Amino acid sequence: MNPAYVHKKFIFNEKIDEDYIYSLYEQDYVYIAEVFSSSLETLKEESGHFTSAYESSDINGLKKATHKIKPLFGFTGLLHHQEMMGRFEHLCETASNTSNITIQYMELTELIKEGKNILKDDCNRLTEFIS
Amino acid sequence: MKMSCVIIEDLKVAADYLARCCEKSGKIEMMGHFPDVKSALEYLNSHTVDLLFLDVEMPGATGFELLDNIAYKPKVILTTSKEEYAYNAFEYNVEDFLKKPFTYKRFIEALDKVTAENEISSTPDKSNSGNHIFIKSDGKLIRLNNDDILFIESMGDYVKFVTRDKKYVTYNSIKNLEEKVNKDYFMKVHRSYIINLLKIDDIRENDLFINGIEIPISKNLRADVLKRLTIL
Repeated sequence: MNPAYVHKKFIFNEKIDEDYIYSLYEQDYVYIAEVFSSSLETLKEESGHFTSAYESSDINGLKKATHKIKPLFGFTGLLHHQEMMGRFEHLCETASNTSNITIQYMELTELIKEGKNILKDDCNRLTEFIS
Repeated sequence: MKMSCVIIEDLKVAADYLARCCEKSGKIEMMGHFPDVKSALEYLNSHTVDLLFLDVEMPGATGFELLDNIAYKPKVILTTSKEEYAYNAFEYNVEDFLKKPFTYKRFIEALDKVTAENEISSTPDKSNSGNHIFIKSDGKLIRLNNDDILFIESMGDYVKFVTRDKKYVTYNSIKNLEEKVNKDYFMKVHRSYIINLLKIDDIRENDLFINGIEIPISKNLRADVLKRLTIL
């Protein structure tokens, strides 16, 4: 027997590109929930590395953390977030030290925070949706 | 036949997605997932696989460093979120380059490229009566004249074509080749060897020698081998 949600469509946060999500996972909401949950866990861990690398003026560490966070936003349809991470990664490659990119770092910190909140919220709603 | 593959990827969500695509395709036998180059090399140095799904930037060493250090040449599909690596991908002669995240359709396109190449490499000649074969090795189709081949040796899922000057490793099996090589020249003498009959130097008990190399003859094939020789 099909689950109750099979004929319903989940409404994602408006910042998540739902067409993109469906192009990756079709309407497999159970799997989408898994992806969101797994991405959120990794995001929490990597955003810690992101902050600590900046605070210790480790430009290479900052680049690595950015590189790892970037596809997490891709896998969860937060394409603007993904693009901004890509731009910041490029900045890290050309900047000689972290003090040159403080403004962009602050902006990105806010964006990561927003991304985490969106994922947390949609993850909870998805879990309810499929239960 | 399914292709054996491993995933070398440090991002869990990406590795899981890739494993899901592999399973859905029905064409892949997943041998394992490794989150870094060191653990992958440990495995790959003692196991032969057909295909690697390889990330580039990982903790410790990069995917390109793995390719520099692996003892053989499996097919490779690079998976990375950075388009700048496309040039390196070309230089390393990888089969395809998947930018993360990628759709299942794009994954299948990449897999089809590998499958198509495997089909070519599994077809050494269009008939078994020619005087040469083509094999796929090092990303090229290489012509080998029957006269130049000393013997063919099994290496698990691969075979080694041995000539006087060089050795060529390609994805194939002795069983498959036995049907396709020119039987005027070649004969299977052991489950792991097909030899060029014209290159035998001498035979002693259950071994034969070609260019100083000892090759075993299966007991059940020994009489057939002797029948093929002109013994005065």
